[in-house]
Parts: sequence; structure tokens; C-alpha cells
Amino acid sequence: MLLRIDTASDQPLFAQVAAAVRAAISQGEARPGDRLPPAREVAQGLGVNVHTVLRAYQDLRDEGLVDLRRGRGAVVTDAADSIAQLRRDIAELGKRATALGMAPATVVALVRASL
Amino acid sequence: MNDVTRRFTLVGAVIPGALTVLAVVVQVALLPQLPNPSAVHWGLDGVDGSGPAWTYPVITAFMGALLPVWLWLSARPRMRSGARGWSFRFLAAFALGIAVFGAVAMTWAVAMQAGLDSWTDAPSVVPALAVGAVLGIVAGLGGYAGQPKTVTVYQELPQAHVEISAGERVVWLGVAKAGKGTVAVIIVAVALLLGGAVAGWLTQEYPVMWLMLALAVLIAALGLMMLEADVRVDATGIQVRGPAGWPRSSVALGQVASATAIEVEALGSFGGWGWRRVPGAMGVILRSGEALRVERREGHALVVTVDGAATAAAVLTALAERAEA
Repeated sequence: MLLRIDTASDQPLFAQVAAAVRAAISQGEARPGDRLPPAREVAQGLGVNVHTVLRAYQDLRDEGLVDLRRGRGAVVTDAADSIAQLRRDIAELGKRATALGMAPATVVALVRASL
Repeated sequence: MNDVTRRFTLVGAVIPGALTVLAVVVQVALLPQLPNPSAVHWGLDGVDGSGPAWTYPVITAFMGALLPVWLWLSARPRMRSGARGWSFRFLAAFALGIAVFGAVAMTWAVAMQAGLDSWTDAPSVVPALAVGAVLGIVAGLGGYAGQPKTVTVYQELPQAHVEISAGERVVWLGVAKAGKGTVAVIIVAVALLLGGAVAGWLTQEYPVMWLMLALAVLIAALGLMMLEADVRVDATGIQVRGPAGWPRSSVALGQVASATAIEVEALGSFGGWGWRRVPGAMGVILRSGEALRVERREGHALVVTVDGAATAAAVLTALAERAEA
């Protein structure tokens, strides 16, 4: 699983880690039932605090994307399939919004309003 | 077909196959003259066990033909498409040595019983085994010398490309997993040994029980090492670790000369499964197929069979290029 964060970004690190995992799931790198890499491994690899990664995993659990189980780590739920299904639509929306010159915050706000 | 593959086929499949067929034909022709049952087992004091005479041709066929058939079906196609390696040469020579040993020793053991009235009259089997072993070793060495020395060449898979910008931090995490066959073999082996230990306990053969238990623990521990390995690619380079963090192998980013996705044949390229050292490479070979190969500047490579190897190789390449810039 490829995870990337940008230290120059304004987004908090935990949010970037969560976004990286979401991206990996949407690209089918992790399927329902798969285990996410141990938080310690991710933290070491990205050079961030392990609590930052755990915070990201907790956010993903609150979204229903993973189950956190003691001893088993973070396990991807069936919701991963829904994300994978929407992946093309989301990519298309992003492309069109960029072409129209829309600010990302506007697009996010519009998507949120439509839910 | 090129010379390397032709000699490999000759040494590893054609000669041992032909010898085995010849030995089986001679043995079958002699079968009517053998006592029934025939002598099939010898102890320190001479012959001490009997069985059907057809055991000989069956064992000869298995010993002599198993490896050649496998080499012909599995290794030869890979060599024809360009794969090269020390193990191919070694396995072909080994196949020849085993076939010669089996053909000589078994045919001798059959021939020396021809015309006997009873299996108890059979002479010692030691000369047959000794001459067979010597000839087998000579044939193996000859088969090795008779093949050209080659550098290891792997089949490359389509490579991926990953862009990494200056401020980005990237990690690629993967788990190398054993094939289902390996898992099954380990479970069966441990189960058989535990069964043997229970049998030893029931029959009060305590040394047997302890031996079986010790072997079961050893095989389980070795098996665990062959089931999974964690692979991590990040700004420090690549690290491969077995369960519980051991064994481990790594290449520092500054040492990375190249990273590529390749196709590995466990037996052909590395002589088997597990954590293996072969000339020019350390292999974490848990299955055949897709693998990540990292070449060090000093020349020694690290190879690990892991899904997503192309992405991992691209990430490592991009990180190494960024560190250089």
C-alpha cells in the first residue's frame, strides 16, 4: 500500500494520512477484510508520530471504513467496495471542477450540501 | 534453441530420463527370475526385509524421473524465454546424479537376486549402494561441469512510474505471503510430527516422542519464517522483516543502484523457498511469481516475492533519484 503526505500542505498530518489511506482503498489497494499496515510501520515510514497515524485510523473507523479490533489492528470494512465503485465518478468530478477553475473548498462544500 | 538451454535439457531431462527408462526396462525383464517375495530391506546384519519385486522399478522411476519431468515442464520454458541462474545448472546436475544413483543401485540390487530361491539368500546391498553413490556423484559433477557458467538473468515485468515531489513523504508497505501449497505442506508436516510424538507417548517410546516434538517445534518455527515477511520502502531505503522482526534484510537508499519488478521461479532461480542466499543475491522467496529486485551499488541484490512489486520498485527508484538530486 502506497501512502503519501506533503509536509508543505496546510492540512493536519493525521488528515493527510487518513486521505492517503482512503486514496489507497479507492484504488483497490486494500479490499474488505484486508488489514491496514500497523500504525507503527506507517509512522516510521512517513516519519510522523504513531499517535498521528492512530488518530487517522480512528477517523477512518468513525467513517465506517475500517474496524479497529484489539489484536487484529485496523480491518477494512465492506464500505471499501462502495468507495471503489464511486472512484471514477469522483475523479471525473474533480477533473471537471479543475477545468472550470473552481476552488477545491467550493467543490467540497457543494458535494457536502448534496448529501 | 540456444546452447545453454540445450545442455540444460540434455543434462537435466534427456539423459536422466533415458537412463531411468533403460534401468526400468532391464529390471522389469529380470523380475520373473527374482524370488517372490524379494529382498527389499537390509539392516546392519544383512538382509532383513522382504516385499514385492516391482517395488524396484517403481522406486527407480520415481527417483529418476520426478526431477527431470519437473525441470522439463517448469524450468525449461523459463530458460527458453531467457531466464538464467545458478540453480538451473545445479538442479540439472542434481537430477542427473540422482538418476544415475537410482538406476545403478536399484538395477544392481535386482540383478544380484536373479535366480535366487529365497529372499533370505540375497547378498549385501552395500556394494550396489556404494558404486551407485560414487557413479551418481561423478555424473552430477560431470553434469555441472558440462553446462556453461551463466550469470543470473531474471525476466523483467512491466515497470511502473511514481512521481515524488520535494516536500512529500512516501511509504510503501507490503506483505510477502507464501503460496497455499507451502502453507499446506508446513501444516501437514507439523501434524505428522505431532502425530508421531503422540504415537511415541502411547507406546512409551519416550526418546522418539521427544525427537518428534523437537522436530515439530523446529519445522513450525522454520515454517513461520516462510509464511510471511513485511516489506517497507521509505526514505531510508527498503527493509524486509520476518515474523517477530527476524530475520531481516535491508538496503539503504544511498546503496540502491536499481529497483525492478521481476518474475521469479522459486526452485529454478533460488533452489527453493524461504530466506535464501545464492551467488549474487539474497532472496526472500515465499512463492514463485512477481518479485521486487533491488540491486546494490556493490552488486549484491535483494529479491523479495511480494504483490505490487512494480509500485514498490517505482517508489524506491523515485526516492533514490530524489535523494541524488
